[in-house]
Amino acid sequence: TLELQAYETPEVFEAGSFAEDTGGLH
Amino acid sequence: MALTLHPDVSTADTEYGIVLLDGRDGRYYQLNGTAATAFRALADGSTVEQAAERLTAAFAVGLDQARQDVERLVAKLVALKVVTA
Repeated sequence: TLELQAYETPEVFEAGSFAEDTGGLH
Repeated sequence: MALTLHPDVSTADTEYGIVLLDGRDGRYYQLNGTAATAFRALADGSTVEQAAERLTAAFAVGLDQARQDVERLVAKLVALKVVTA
C-alpha cells in the first residue's frame, strides 16, 4: 500500500519582490 | 506540452515547494507542494497528462481533477511570463 499525501490544489502566488524587500537598501 | 523556464527566471527549492525568482523585475513566486511536483515534471519534459499522473501517484486526487489543475497551473505560469509552454 502506498500512502498518498493529502491533496491541495496546485497554486502559484506572488510572494514579494526584491524591490520591496531591499526598500533601507534602495 | 513541456515547460521551458524563461532564461531570466531562477528556481529555489524550499521546504514548502519551489520559489521562482524573476530576475527581470525582482518578483518571486511561491509554488505549493502539489504545484512544485507538477512543475518539476513539466520542466523535466513531461506532458500535462504525465504531470497529472505524477500527482495521482503521490497525492489523493483523481486523474481528471489533477489534469484540470495542471492545465490551470500551466496557464497561470504562462500568464506570469515565467515559462513558455
